[in-house]
Amino acid sequence: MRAEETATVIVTRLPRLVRVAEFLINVVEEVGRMAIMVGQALRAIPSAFRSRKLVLEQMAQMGVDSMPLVIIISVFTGAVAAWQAAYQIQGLIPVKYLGSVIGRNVMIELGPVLTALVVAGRIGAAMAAELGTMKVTEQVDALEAMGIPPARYLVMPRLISATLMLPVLVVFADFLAILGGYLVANILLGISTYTYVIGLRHSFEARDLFAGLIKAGVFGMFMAIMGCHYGLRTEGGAEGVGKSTMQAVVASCVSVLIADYFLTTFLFPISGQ
Amino acid sequence: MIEIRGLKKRLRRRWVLNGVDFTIVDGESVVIIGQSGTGKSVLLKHIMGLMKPDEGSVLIDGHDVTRLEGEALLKVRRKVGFLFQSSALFDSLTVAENVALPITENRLDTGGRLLPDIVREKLHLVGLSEDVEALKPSSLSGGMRKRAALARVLAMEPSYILYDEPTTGLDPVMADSISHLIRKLQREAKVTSITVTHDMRSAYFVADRIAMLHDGRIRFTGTPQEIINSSDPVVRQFVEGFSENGPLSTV
Repeated sequence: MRAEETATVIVTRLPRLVRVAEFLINVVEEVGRMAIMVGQALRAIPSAFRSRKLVLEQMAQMGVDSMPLVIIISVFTGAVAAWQAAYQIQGLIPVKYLGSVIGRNVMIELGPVLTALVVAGRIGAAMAAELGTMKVTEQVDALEAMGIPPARYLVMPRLISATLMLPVLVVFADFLAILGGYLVANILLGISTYTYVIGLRHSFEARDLFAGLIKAGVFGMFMAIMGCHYGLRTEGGAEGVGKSTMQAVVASCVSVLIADYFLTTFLFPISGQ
Repeated sequence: MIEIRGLKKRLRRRWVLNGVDFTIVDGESVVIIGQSGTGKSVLLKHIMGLMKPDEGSVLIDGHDVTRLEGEALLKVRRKVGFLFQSSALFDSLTVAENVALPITENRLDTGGRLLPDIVREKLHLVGLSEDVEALKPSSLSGGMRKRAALARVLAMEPSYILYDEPTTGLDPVMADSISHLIRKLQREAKVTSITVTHDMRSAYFVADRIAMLHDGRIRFTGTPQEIINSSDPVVRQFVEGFSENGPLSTV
């Protein structure tokens, strides 16, 4: 009787187990494909100088063309951060320390993460849509047919550009967010320029700034990997391109947030822990 | 020489290729015909090494492209040009940049000649003037796009050219001019050609030999005259193009 019951349980749960197994196999396959693509792109890095036109084009598209968006996002992020910080510290810490709070928060977290999330939406989607369209119109096959590895011609320039340009964007984003915070602090909260700047200087550590830029570089790399991976595995027509674009944006944002946790714990250790 | 041996490929639970054996000798022009969905384009992609078979091999000058990887595969591919049905020109590049791409990216030896001169020569060879050099592919007509794509193929100076439905979507006059171009390249540039087409008029003109792919295998091979005289009902129905009272299904 017990054997029969066990058999029934196994039979009823089997479809679910099969689905779980299929899901896990798919995840391993996806990660494997990504790793192969990244490996091929990294091996192509020595030819980056020869492909400098492609790299520079991508850098312009990711950097210069993203600036208007970064300016708006950063100024308002800084402004909101200033107001919220003032709200949270009221009664606990004198509001004159607002510059210290904003400066560190922006450099460590808000600048890199928010810039990465906003740029992931723009660049991750653009990469996946462009490469996806190239895939479904046989342009990627044409590259391979001409003996040109897509990892070298398409992935490597995007990987280098995103890894280099996101930290550059974050430098601007940090500055603009601090400026946004200053405007709120000065105009609405009545904190003088001198007090705000002293607060900033008081808490400034170059290590925070550089750690934030390292985070930005890693986020840029993940964004390019997701955009290229989902773009190059597009199947079907317009529907497939739309699906890949959506997957690339979601995967970019999720990978940025997960990487942020691990990088934060690694780059900003808490003493005594 | 291209030797296809026992090639099998299963796609979406169906054997699209189910034991294809076929040899193409140097200098000849072979046309592969068959109903839509019989795996003609899949066969071409196996020859290019763009798809891997479940069984069998494809030997190009003795190198099995089904087993080669990386740089070794790329090296063999550079001997084989592929004209895609959609032309597959790069939208972001001009016509001249498209034609120059395989030379610059593969660092092909130009023999001291300047790149713009080579691009111009290849464009002239396919009947395009210098005026199109600065245009983007989206500004070209279907026939011009096919010609530009062919110029890009020729820039690699391939020993073999695979044409995937080169006349599809073109008007009859343009289709005929593309057929003449394929013949001219085979005869003058001594390029071995493999053409996949449904266009029997073009097939008769282009082919030294016609092979019919049916049910995953080569059903018939012969000269254009032999296929016209064939008594095989499947071959007859296809070349005569009637949809009823024949063994070929239209569903």
